[in-house]
Amino acid sequence: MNKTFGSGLLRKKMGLPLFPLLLLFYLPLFGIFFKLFQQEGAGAMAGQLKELLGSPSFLRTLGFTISQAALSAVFSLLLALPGAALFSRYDFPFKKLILSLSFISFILPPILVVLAFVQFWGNQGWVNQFIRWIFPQSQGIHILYSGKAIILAHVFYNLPLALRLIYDGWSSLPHSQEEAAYSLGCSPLKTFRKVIFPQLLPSVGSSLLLIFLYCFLSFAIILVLGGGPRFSTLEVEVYQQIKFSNNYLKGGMIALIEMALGMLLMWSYLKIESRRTLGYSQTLRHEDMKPLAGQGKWLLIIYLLFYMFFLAAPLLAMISKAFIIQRGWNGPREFTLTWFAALFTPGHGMLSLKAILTSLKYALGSTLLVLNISLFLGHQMLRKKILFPRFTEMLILMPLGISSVLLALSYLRISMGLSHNSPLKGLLIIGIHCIIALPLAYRSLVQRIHQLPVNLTEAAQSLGAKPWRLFTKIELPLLKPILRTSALFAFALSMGEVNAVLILSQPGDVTIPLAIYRLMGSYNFNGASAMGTLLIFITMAAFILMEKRNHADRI
Amino acid sequence: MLIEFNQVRFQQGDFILHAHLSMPQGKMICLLGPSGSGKTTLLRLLAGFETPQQGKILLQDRDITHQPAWKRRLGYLFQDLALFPHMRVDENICFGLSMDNIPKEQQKMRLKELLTLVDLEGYEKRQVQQLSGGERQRVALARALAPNPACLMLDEPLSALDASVRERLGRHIRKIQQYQNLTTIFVTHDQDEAMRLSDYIYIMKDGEMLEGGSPEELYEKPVYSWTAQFLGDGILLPILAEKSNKITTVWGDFILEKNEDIEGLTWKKEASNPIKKDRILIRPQWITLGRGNKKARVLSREFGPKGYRLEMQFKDQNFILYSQKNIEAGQWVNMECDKVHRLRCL
Repeated sequence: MNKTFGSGLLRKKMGLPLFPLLLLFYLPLFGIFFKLFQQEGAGAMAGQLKELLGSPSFLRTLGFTISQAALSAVFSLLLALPGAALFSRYDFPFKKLILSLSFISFILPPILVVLAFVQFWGNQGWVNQFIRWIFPQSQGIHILYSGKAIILAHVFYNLPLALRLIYDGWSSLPHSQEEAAYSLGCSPLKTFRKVIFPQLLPSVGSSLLLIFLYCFLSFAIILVLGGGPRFSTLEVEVYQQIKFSNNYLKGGMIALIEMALGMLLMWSYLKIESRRTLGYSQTLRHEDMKPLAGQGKWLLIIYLLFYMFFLAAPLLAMISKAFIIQRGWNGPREFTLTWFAALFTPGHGMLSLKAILTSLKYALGSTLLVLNISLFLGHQMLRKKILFPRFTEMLILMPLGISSVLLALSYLRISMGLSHNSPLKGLLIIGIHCIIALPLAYRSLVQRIHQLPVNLTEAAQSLGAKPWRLFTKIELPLLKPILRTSALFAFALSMGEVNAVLILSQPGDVTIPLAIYRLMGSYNFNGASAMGTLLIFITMAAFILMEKRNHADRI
Repeated sequence: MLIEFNQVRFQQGDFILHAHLSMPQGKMICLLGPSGSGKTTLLRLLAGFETPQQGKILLQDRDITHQPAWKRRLGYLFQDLALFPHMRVDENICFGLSMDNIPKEQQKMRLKELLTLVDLEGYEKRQVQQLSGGERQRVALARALAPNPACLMLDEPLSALDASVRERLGRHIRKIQQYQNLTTIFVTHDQDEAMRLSDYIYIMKDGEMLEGGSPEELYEKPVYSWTAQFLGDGILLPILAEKSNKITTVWGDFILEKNEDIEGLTWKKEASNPIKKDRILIRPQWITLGRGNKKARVLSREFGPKGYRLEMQFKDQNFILYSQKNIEAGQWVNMECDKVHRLRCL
């Protein structure tokens, strides 16, 4: 049996590892279905389920949910593959930075993506302005508010993630395998087909499933960019049924189907992931990387240009909107800070300042909670006496397969039992944000703990370090970088999360993404862009701070 | 000649490799040198994994400088073996054959032949992860041999193995090479391994081909002092005066053998490596104890498989000798040098 690093605090009994998850996730979720069962009875639930499965409109929604997620995953993957090939072969400036953009999928709130897309692909967006500038008679392209827009936004969101995952898999394959195939007479294309791709399958499979899962549970993008019932998904349907139609039975049963499918996807993903980590684990040595030259150089430049156009341009379009004012319909455009100033002027302004403070409060609260719980879970899981460790780990990661809308709806029931001004309502949002960020924070922490050399703790123990000292003096300092990354991730996720806030917030409550949502709803795109720019600024500041601290630690 | 490197120049970052040499058919040729001397780079140039900026690489008088690796069909055994982990032993070995669209029946026959050659009969259906280090090495060797390459390249093939497996497998590779009369080029930084296994050795240093010759030639009559020291123990004495074939050193006068013509052995470009101060080489085997008029002192004594290892001193020069006689530390012993060799300093 492999020895694990966690040997200090971990060997002490610290209670049930699943207790925090039980409290924050499983009980509320169980509660919502139990309440439904109490109110409606098993017969009504079964009847509703049968009706749903026979309903063409539900099957159409289910079909669209699956097809948009599948198409988004496949396109993300197809666009990521050439990039992963080039990135794993060549060394070039800013490679690390570009790869770290995979964070975008996690830290950029969907509502901001929607906003950026409107500024870039919309009728008055950059793309159409450019087309009309070249061809004045042209009507431009109409992508927004369609299935295409949903897929495009999902690919925008998930391309960096796919690139990162496949790059990780590809760069762990020794370059000598490719060369061995060449020396045996295999052409580059055949080498990819026979040697590389079969070994990339776990990476490809896990990224396909993860992206599929994200798109399957996607909410804000579908709600805004879908533009109508034709492009509704299960997630939006649950929200519509419960929030607007007050049909808890139907909403609950759709949620149940969605949850079952989500958990099945999650289970498959974890299965593939465990295979992926069993394969080659060596990372590409620096000397295996080729310096940029020849044909590869041009291919890489073309790919990077595409990558930047696809990812950076929409965000730039949104940021520029925050700094530009146009006098009249066809008037000149000027640089301005008016939109930012408007956010802080009385009336409007107090709302925005409050939004920033509320967002920060939720983000800091959930970050603290995520760090503590993931450390606790990590240590618990690495104890030897955990019953069914694989199953328990699956239970910890399961929130990844549950939609935040469903989670928020389950919290809504608790919220309704609280008084209007109860401070506990804020804690509920913090709880949801924590549970959304927890699986990934926990996973990266545990992976890091496994990578740490066992002999460090053994050395400390041989020098007389007791469990607590071992934890504070050896384990915790070594885990600092990954804890910072997890903190940033939890912070950014909470700063941008809109689904739970949308469902749980009281009329007076507002956070930054909710303010963006409302400003967009009132067609104040400049104001929304200014608010979005502020959100990016806060998240980037946190990101740079983390990188600086991690860099200082490495030195 | 089978392989020729004609004024080849290859640069990658700060590293520059110059190669101008030829390799004969059917021999075991070793590229020997310290880390970073360019041995693997030379092999990769021949394999087609790198392309030189200048010069030509010829295989049987055919220019292959710009031919892609998959068209050269030269066998290559990688340091990390590069076995395909998703394929079984038989699939790995037959990979090159399937690239040539060889019929399945013929592939099976060749597989059987190769498994016998590398002593792995009955292993065909095993996963490569289930094999030991030595077994994997032999699978990789069989895979490289399968398509009957014109030449086999081995990049530090034994470096990851423990001593006993390493020696056994080294002999195995040598036997296969001799049995098949296959031109084999292997890279190593292990002097003993190079001398034991090869017909011919090229010494490489800082991207330059320093000199080449049979193991005996290079050990006994190297051109450069660097080679002499790199290949084994030896005493290097500065030349104080030289007249005809008589050389004067701090140890006294020595008469060079008649055929000690270093001009004919010169490999290096004189312009880039001017002669600084030449030396003479005395290998420990060339010294006889208990004879002659040179009195040396034994500083320390250790017992080992080669006999007694004596650390000795003569005229402020410390050196190592091996003796079958047990001589106590502190004793004075007479000694005589039977042979010396003149070196160029590098």
